[in-house]
Amino acid sequence: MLYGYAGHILRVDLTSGTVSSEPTPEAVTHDFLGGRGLGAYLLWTEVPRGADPLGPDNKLFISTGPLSGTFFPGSGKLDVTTKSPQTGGYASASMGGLLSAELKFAGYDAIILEGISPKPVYLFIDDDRVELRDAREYWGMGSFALERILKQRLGEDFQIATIGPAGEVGVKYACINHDYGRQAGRGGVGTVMGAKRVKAITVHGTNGIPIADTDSFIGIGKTAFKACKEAEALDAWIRYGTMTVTSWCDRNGALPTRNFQAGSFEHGPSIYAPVFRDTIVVTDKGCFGCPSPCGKYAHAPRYDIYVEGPEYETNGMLGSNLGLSDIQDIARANQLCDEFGLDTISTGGCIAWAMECFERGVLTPAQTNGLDLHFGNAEAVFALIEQIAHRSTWLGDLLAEGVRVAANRIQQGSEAWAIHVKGMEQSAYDTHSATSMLLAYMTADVGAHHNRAWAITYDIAVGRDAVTPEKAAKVIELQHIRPLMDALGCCRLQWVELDMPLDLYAPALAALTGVERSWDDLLHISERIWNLTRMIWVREIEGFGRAWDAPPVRFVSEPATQGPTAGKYTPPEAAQQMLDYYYEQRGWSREGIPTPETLARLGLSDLVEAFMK
Amino acid sequence: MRLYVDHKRCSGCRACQVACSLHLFRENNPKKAALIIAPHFPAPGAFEVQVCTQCGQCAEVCPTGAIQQNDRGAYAVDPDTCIKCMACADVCPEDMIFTRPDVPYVWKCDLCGECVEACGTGALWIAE
Amino acid sequence: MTVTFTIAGGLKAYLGGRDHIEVPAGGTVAELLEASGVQPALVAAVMLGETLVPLTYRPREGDVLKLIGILGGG
Repeated sequence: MLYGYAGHILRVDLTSGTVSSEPTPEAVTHDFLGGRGLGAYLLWTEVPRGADPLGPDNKLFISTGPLSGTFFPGSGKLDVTTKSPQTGGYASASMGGLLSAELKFAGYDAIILEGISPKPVYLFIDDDRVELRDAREYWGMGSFALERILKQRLGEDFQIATIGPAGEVGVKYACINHDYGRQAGRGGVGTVMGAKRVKAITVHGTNGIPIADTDSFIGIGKTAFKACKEAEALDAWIRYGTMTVTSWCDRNGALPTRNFQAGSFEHGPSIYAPVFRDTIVVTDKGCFGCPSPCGKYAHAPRYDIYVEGPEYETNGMLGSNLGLSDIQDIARANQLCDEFGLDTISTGGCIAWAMECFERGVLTPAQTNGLDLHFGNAEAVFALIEQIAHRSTWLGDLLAEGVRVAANRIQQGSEAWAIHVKGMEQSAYDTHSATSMLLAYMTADVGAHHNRAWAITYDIAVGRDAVTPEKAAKVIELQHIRPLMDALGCCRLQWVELDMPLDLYAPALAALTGVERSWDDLLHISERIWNLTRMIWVREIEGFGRAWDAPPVRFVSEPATQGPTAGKYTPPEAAQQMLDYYYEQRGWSREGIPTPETLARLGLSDLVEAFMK
Repeated sequence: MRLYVDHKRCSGCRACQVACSLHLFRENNPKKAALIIAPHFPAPGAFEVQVCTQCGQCAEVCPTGAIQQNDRGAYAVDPDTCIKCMACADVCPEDMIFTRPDVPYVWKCDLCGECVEACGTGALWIAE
Repeated sequence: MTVTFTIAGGLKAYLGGRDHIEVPAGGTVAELLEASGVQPALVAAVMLGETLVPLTYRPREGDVLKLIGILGGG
C-alpha cells in the first residue's frame, strides 16, 4: 500500500487515442517523492535525447505530490514538467488551485501525455472513467471562456485546466490555465500541450487519500494550520498577497522598470498594494488546503473584466517593466494574457524588449504596423498581447519566439537588452545590484525564474554587491528547500511568508506515507532532483556549460538609470566569481557539470549513465 | 448552537471539508464532508458556504430516532441506527443531509468545530 | 508619548531577536526605524491595523505598527 499516494499513473497515448493506468512506482517515490521529482525522473527516463519538444517523442508529465490534497497547509500544488520548446532544456511549472487535489481524489498521482493527437481532444477523468473526447468545437477558445462552458456541461465540481489560442499556435511561452486564475506558466508547458492537441483536462474524483498514521497526521496538520493562523504576518498577507512587496521592491531597487533599465519606477505608488486592494479587488481566492490565500480576484470596471491578479510578478512585468502605472490597465493586460493562455512574465519580458527596440529606433513603426510602442502605452500593450497570442503579425510572430530568438533575428545590438537566462525571460526582480539574486537567476534550473531561490533580503543584509562563498551557499540552500515543496505537492509560501516551521514537513510526510525520513533526508532528495535536472540540460544541449549560466548582459554592463541602485551594475567578473563559488560548493566542474563523485553521492550514477545517450 | 459563515472571508480552499471528513470518517476525503463550498465564478467572483443550521427538522422526521442532539447541541446521525430511508434529506431546508452509494447511512454536521479550527480566514464560527 | 513597532515572524532574526520597539513619536516610520538601529530596507511592509502604510507615514502617539519582513520573497 503506497500511503499518501493515489496509487496509479494515467498514461495517455494521444497518437493511438488510448489510455491506460499503471501503478505508481514505489521505488521512484522513495528516491524522488513526487511532483517535480517524479516529473524529472520521467523526463529523464522516458523522453529520448534530442526529442523535438513539439514532436511526438516529448511528453507532458503532470504530477501531484504526496502532500497534495491532504490535511496540510498549502496542499494544492501540481507540477507540469516537459522538455521546453522555448529553452530546449528542462521545463517545470507549478500550478496551484484545486486540480492537484482532485486528480488524487480521482485516483491518479500523475498524468503522462504522450504522442500527438490527430485531432483536438480533451481528457475527461471522472474517477476511473477516463476518456479522450472531441475538442474540435473548443479549439480557438479562450482559456476561461472554455472553463466556464466545461463546468456548465460537466458540472461545477469538475476541475478544469485549459490552454488558450497561444498554446494552439505554438507561442513558445504558452501556459496552462485553471480555476479562473491559476497557471502552470513558464517554459512553454502550454505550448507542448497545444502541440499534442490537448485543449483541456477535466477531472472529478471522489476517493480519499490513504494515510499511514491518521492520528499523527491529523495532529501535525492541526499544528501546522494553527501556526499559520497565528502567524503575525497573516493579516497583511491575506489582505494584499504578493502585491505587498511591490513597494518594498520599488524602495530597494528591485522593481523592474522599462525593460530592467532600473529597479525603481517613478510612478510606483500608483501600483502599490493598497491602491490595488482598495480599487479593484473583489475577493480573496486560495488554493486547496491553504489558510493564507494569496490570490486576489479583481474586477476592473473600466474594462468590465475579472481577473485573479495582478499578483506581484505580473504587476512588475506587465506594469512597471512596461512603464504602465494604472492598476486597471495592468489588470486588463493580465486578463488578456490569461484568456489567451500566455505566461505573463515572459510576455512582459518580450514586450519590454520590443518597446526598448522601438524607442531606440531598432524597430520601426512600419515593423510594428503603426503601433506606438513607447513605454507606458497601455493600448499598444493590449494590441501586442493579442498579436503575440495569435502570431497574427510579423512582430507578434517574432515575439512569440521569446527574446533570445527575437534579438538573435533583429540583431542591431538588441541582444544587449534581451533580459533572459537560457532563453527564459527574467522574472520581476531587477538584479543590477544584488549578487545572490543574480546568481539565483543564473543558476535556476528552468531559466531565469525566481521560484528556486529568492535572496534579495539576504543581499541587503550582508551587502548587496558582496561576492562571497556564503552567498553562493545561501542560494544553494534555498534551491534545495524551495523546490522540495514542488516535489511534495505543496506550496512554499506558508514557510516563506508566514514562517510556518520547516520542521513540520518531515513528520507530516512520515505520518502520511509511513516512510520515516528526516528533514536532511528530504533535502538530500531535493539535491538529487536538482542534479538530475542539471543533467537534462547537459544531455539535451550540445556543449552545455558555464556559458548557459551567463547573466543577462544588462546587469553586468549597464548602470541602472534611476532609483536606489542608480549608477550601479555588477561587474562581470563578480558574477563569474559567484558562479565559481557556486560550482565548487555544488560539486560541479568549472564548466558547471555535476562530477561523477557528486552523482555517486546522490545515487544518480547508474540512472544518469543509463539514459545519457 | 450552530455554524455561522462570513461568506466574504471564504477563499474556497476546502480545508474545512478535509477537516470535516477526517472527523466524520477518519478519511482524507473532502467529498465526504458535511458542508459545501459553492464558487460563483467568473462573476461575481465570490464563494458561498452552505452549512447546517441545526434546525432539527431531520430529527423530527427520522423514523428510527437515528438523529439526536449531541452534547454540543447539534443534531447528529448515529450510523448504526440510520436505515438510509432519506426522510431527513427530503425535509432538510438547506440540503445538508449527505450520503453516497458506498456509505450505508447519511451524514451531517455534528458541530465538532474542526472546520472552524482549520479555516485560515476566519470565515466560520460556532455560536447560538 | 510612544509609538510601538511590533516585529512579525522571521524579521525578528534580522533585528537582533527583538519582538517590539518603542520610540517617541516625531518622524516618519523610516526615520524612527533608523534611529532605532533598524535598516528600513529590511522592512517589507508596515501595517497600521489593516492598512499598509508607506515608510513616509508619520506615526502618532499611541500608534502600534506591525513590521513585516520580506524574507523569502515570492
